[in-house]
Amino acid sequence: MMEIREKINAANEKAVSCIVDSDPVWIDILPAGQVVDGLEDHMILHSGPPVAYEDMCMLHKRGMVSGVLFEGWADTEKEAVDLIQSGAIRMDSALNHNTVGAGTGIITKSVAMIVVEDRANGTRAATFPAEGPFQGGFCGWGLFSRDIAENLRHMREDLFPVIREMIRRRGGLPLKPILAESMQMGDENHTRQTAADLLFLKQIVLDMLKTNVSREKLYAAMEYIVNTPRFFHCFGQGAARSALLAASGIPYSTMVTAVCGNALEFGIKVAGLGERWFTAPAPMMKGRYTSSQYTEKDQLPWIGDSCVVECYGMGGLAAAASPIVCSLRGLKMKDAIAQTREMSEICIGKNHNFMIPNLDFEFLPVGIDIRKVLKTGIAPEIHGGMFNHDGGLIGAGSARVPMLCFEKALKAFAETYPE
Amino acid sequence: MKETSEQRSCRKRPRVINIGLSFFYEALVAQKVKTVQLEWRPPVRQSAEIKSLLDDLL
Repeated sequence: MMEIREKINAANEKAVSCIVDSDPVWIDILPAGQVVDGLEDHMILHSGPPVAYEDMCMLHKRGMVSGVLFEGWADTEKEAVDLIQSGAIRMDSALNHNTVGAGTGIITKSVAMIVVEDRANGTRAATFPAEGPFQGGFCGWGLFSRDIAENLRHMREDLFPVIREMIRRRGGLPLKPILAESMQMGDENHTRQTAADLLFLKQIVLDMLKTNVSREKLYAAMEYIVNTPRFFHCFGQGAARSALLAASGIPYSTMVTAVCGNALEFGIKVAGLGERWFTAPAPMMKGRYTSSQYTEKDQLPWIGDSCVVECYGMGGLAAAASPIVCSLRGLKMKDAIAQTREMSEICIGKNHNFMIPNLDFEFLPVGIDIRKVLKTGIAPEIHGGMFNHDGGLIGAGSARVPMLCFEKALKAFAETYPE
Repeated sequence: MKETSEQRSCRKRPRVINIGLSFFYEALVAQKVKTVQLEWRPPVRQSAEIKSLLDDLL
């Protein structure tokens, strides 16, 4: 009979292969109501572990009101608040569904989503694209105004039909080659997607030109893609989420499948423990502000689900791939290499798809193991954007996942598998 | 007064093994002191319960 350690190791091999062997392909753009499992009418998803409306940070509360107004479930902010407080609006964590709540992560049924199909794992995830000149806008920053509403309408009715025709005509766009190549060109695919954006554009530009639309419509769609900073971010998140969905629920696996915060609590999920959350107070990020006027008092504790990419072996785990992101954080190249090497100590394996020049062409670590985190005392380092209390992006940096999340998870693991 | 062994060592050019914070290592290297950095971190503090679970599961 297999000992529990052998069962865990076998399960972890299986879980990490869901990531390493994944084949994420962008296939469509569809309303969230059609592609996010369990997203019903009068329901709003948000980032981080589940949290009641009364306890939410201001950004999430504002996001809930924005969600109600965006869907037309109320006409004024006061009506929206009344509706929410009456209990008529269901709220849930985005990571309880096949999606990702980057930033505030506000997702309702009418939000247009990028659909990623993992053809190796047979899973699908949907993520929201950035909102052009409004960047985070409604979904990422929880904002809603007449201009944002008009921009969302413009994206839905004018831009996405063109992009959708292109992606359906070409039969999908494989994302892993873009992720792999971009990480040899200075991206770590959390804070930086500069190379990925260019590679993505190169892949689609000829197919865009083949679309059967007017020159004006084509130009508008191309302008949106070209001028939106970090356009590829949602594709990386979709790739990560679709692979991690396949790993979720593998019995005996101690691999982390979700890492996120709601500005109050930080939470993780573990493959062998399915959809259970293990939480601790949300950490503050350390890094650089965009202006010297900001201090830690302006900064919100960790909010957002985008560190799903760290669970996939990118972002903080791939620090060595991105000298520029290190520099943004005031680090030297050797510190970035040391960070990736340190992350190797808490990971299950290496991802042979992600070979990094700065590591003398070694592979990046992949698959965070809760046991190794606790044994070594090394908490995963996660990259991300810093938000202020009003929802503005005020810098970039990193944080460590609280150790308490792993302690709770290990205790629960031992109770679930009492051998 | 007889010279102590410590005083004798100080007259020689030092050779340093640095443990912990690497900027001491970098400062010594900048001063052309022969130095090596030892990869080391403080022992991990774990509760008895977590230690026992890790003994069983890892």
